[in-house]
Amino acid sequence: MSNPPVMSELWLDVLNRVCGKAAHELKGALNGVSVNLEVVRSRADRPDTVASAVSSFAAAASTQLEAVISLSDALLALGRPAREPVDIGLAVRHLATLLAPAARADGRRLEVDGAVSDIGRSMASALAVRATIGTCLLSAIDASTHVRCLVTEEQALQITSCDRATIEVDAGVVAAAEAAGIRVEHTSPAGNTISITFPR
Amino acid sequence: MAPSTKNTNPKILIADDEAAITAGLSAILGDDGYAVDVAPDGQNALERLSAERYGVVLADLKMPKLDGLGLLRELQQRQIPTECIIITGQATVDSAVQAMQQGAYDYIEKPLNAEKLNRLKALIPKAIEKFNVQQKNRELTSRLEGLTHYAELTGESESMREVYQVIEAVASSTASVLILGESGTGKELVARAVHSKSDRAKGPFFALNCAALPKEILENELFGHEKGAFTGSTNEKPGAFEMASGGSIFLDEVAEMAPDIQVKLLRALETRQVRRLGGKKEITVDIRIIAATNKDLQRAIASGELREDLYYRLAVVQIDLPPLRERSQDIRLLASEFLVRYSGQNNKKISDFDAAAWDWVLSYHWPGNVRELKNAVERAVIMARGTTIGVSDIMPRHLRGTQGTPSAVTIQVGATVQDARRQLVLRTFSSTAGDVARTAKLLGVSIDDVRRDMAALIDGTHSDGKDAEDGAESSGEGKSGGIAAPREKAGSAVKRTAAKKRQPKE
Repeated sequence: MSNPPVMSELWLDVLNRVCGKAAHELKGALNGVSVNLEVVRSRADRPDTVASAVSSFAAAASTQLEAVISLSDALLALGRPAREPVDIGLAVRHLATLLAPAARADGRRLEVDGAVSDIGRSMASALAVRATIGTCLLSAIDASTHVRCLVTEEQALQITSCDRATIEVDAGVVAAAEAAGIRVEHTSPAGNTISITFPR
Repeated sequence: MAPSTKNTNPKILIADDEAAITAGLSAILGDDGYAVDVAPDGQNALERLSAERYGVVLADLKMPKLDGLGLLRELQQRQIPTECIIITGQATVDSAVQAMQQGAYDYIEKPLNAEKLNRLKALIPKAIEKFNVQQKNRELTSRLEGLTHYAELTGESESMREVYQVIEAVASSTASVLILGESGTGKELVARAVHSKSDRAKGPFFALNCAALPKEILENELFGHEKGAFTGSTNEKPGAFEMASGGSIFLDEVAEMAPDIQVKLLRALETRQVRRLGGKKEITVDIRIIAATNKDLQRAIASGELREDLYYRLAVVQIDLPPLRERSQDIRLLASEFLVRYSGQNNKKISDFDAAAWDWVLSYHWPGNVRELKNAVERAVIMARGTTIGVSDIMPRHLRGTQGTPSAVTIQVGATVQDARRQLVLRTFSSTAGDVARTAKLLGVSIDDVRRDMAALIDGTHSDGKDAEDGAESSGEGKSGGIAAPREKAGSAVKRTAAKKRQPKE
């Protein structure tokens, strides 16, 4: 087996891929803000404009702006060094915020169970936690049309491919995670569920 | 505010999966007076474009089911007419170049801020204008496709359709037109078509044959004269330029015009003013000149017969009318029409040509073009005794007796140019029943050239120095009698040579 990848390299790769997937969504949302504001602006210039002629576009601009804020918040949060011990749920939420819209645009679904927010913190390095979660999520999204994130009774993060497609995680990644104290394993015979257990 | 004229514009299709963007863009373009539809993905856009005509498609590069480049590719492959503006959030040079290479009208990078929206608003009318121009061309082409008649012209060949297209394009302008074509190809009919399809159609059409009239009369016909301008001119007379003002003048055989009249014509073309013979007053005329000639114009210009400056004035648009032999698919159509026309005129119930007559009509090279075909059919209708026209009815007397001689020459790949030339000489010699002078005239070579080629054939000497087996057998008869001897003998000698040539070697 070749040497496991260094966690910083793994995280850089995850960040590149996540940014690539989110870029279109971010630009799309910015586009939505811009186009809808332009409708509001141009109609507002007309003396005969009634409020109903602009309100729906103002609302659409507002919704799109919220999407921009959400995407850019998540992107900035992941770009910044995380406080340790790292909040596992927050890392999952930020990654899912960036990946879910792109998955939706491709006809896929990424669901994150509410309980994930309360999964707690890990003593592993923030880089290792984020890189491991990101790699596993990306592998699952690439393999499946419906991915779901849950928290097990053992407080492990479980990523399931609901259409039972096998989630393949590179052995090097598994080894690198293990070196950082994080255990990644298939927990279903079909290989459609992986479980990530973090050191506390 | 939206100009109301845009309501007549073709529709715009927005192909994007972002509802927030499509709603906003629709509103912006709708406010500008455009009719807009939305397709939520590339596949849906393609279906809409296949079913309905859109002048412009604004397509996102990244869409579900079929992306922007895929949509462009499909539009090209299915030849769906529209202009595509790609809206891309991934504006790399590569994707932009790729889009443009695949036929996109332009591309705009996201996000569409006010500046880019203004650019898009400026692009759309240009794209629509391009679409409209191409649409007009497509309609014209499809209108001319399948057309067998155009004004008084008849023909469904590609070359005639090209002529129709040029006439259609040039008719509405005021440009002078020069029609080139052999005698009998229908140059006057083309001139009439240019006139009848123009805005001047309600004005007069005045045709003058410059070769048929003596110089003085032609000058008088063109420019008119004042009373007392010359002996016997007791009244003033307006010329063709004045009489045809508001219409068109057709000058046939223009290269035959005397040089000093050419100068006057050039002046009239440049100033749109004429002066009658013996007159002092300049008369302004509104005229379009359509000229025609069957002469080699380069030669006529080089020899000084035709002024070069007049040529350029006349040939603003040049129409080359193909000889009938180069549009052989029109022969059947023309012959059938002439048959119906002359049967009616002569009160004869002739329904068709028989198979042999068709064979001959379709294989003859018609050096006199449509006029010769028309005359041949008229004569055949008059001569025919039954309900069909036979080969003896249609074939001119001077060609009878060479009935079995094929009028086409087949040259095998690998034959030398000299062999091909001699084949052509041989067949033409045969088709003229051994008339050397006529053969030379038809081929455009000298009598000596024909004699030399025939002698080489009969001697069996090929260009590569080998003996021609088939020529050797007839050499005894052909050497002296084949060419110089009376026609019957020459013809028979040649026929045997040709027959022998078709036999495979043992």
